[in-house]
Amino acid sequence: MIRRLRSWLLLAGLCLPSLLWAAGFSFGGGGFSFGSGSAMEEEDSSIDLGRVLDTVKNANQSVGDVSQEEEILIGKEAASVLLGAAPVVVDRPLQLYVNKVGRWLAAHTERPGLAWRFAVLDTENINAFAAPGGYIFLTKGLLDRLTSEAELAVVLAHEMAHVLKRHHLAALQKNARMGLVGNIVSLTTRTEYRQALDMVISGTRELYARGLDKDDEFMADRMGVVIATRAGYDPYAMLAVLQMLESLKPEDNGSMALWFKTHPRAQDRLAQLDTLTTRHLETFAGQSQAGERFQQQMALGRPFE
Amino acid sequence: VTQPRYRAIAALLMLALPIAYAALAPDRAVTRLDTDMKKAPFLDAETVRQIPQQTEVSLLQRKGGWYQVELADQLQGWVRMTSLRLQPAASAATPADEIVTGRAGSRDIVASTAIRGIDESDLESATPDMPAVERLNDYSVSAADAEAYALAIPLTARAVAYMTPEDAAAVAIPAAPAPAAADPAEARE
Repeated sequence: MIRRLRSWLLLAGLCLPSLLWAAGFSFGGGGFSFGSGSAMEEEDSSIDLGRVLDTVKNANQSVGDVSQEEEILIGKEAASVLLGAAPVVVDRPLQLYVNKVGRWLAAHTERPGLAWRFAVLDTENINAFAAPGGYIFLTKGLLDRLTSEAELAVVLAHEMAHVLKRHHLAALQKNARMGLVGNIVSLTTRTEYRQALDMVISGTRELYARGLDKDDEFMADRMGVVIATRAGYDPYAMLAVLQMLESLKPEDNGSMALWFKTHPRAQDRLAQLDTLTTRHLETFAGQSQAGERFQQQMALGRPFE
Repeated sequence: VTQPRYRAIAALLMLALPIAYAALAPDRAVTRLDTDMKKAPFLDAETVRQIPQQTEVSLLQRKGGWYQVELADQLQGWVRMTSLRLQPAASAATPADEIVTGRAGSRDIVASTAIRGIDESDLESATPDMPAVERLNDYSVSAADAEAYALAIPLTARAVAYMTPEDAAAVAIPAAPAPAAADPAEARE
């Protein structure tokens, strides 16, 4: 039944937006919303007709039929799984600090207006995560091993690249059970809506445990270092972080099991970036690491630790 | 919105206490290859010593693609960062799984003092926490505040292109689909 509903909704989703656009309707305001509408307010809601038509043309491309509103709904469910596994560190100055750095990075991406949210998760596991719609997390275990704001920036920017390229959405849609992902907003009954989101949650658990494609990770490295460089940070901070991660061995460090499972080897990531950074970004090598501010902030929130 | 008094106290404590937060960052490395140690962080700087592979060095600071290092005989100089393999800080290795996950032995046995973590089984068993997602809004900052904070360093924005066409390719994001017909039963036919 749901499958049949989907095919109808797909048709409706393709035809109605362009028709309503022609009639002067606006979709960006998020007037029909099951979740909180606050996230949408930050997005520039202008809609490009050409983009809509392109979407109609490319209707069979997977990620293409997920609107930003749906992306945010999906992202909230994914973030709720991560936050169910580990809470955020209760340290307001620390969380604000990470959000300031993240927001500044966001201004140098293709989606500056997205409601980006950043948080440090209270676990010793060493990892970082993104969820669709702009949710970016890194663990306290990883943060404790960084030495500068530039290193924090490249970690955040790597995760942001996954959001910019909608890597998680594409991976969720690849999973057969996720056929409904593109039409969540269209579902009119609570039951159908909740069923769709439950599928998102189970798909999310599996995806975070399995990891993205290796190519997605390499791409996020390349994009992340560029975004951080645009924001004025030292590009070599990315290599510094990867060298730090490379130094950690799974046999010494049980807290890295998931990271090892879900990422390409640090030495392979270093091999790609070493060449690219030297070739493209050497002129920015003198940019700021903001090491002092980082270390002050790290000491600030938890002086008694 | 931090209280200035709290900041002042923290700043005082920082003066008095050893810096504990950086204890987990690597501070030693070993050379991967025979390496020229330079007087300054430039390829054409004077070589102060040729050091063989597998030489242990202490890390002092990094500048761009170079680490300033110190040898056992206290000679200091600069080496290309990629000629080094960093060594984990002495305190960086967590002794065993059970400290991190609260589990001892079998993964089925969960100690009552378990610390929550993010590993495969944690993700499987996690109860989604939507209120926690909503609370993230409490930490959000405006673009203007973020910019002001960046300019305080100062960080200078640069125009830098993505490094491959694939990275630079735009991702199409369609408008939200219109709400379905008022009566979903009708829609199914």
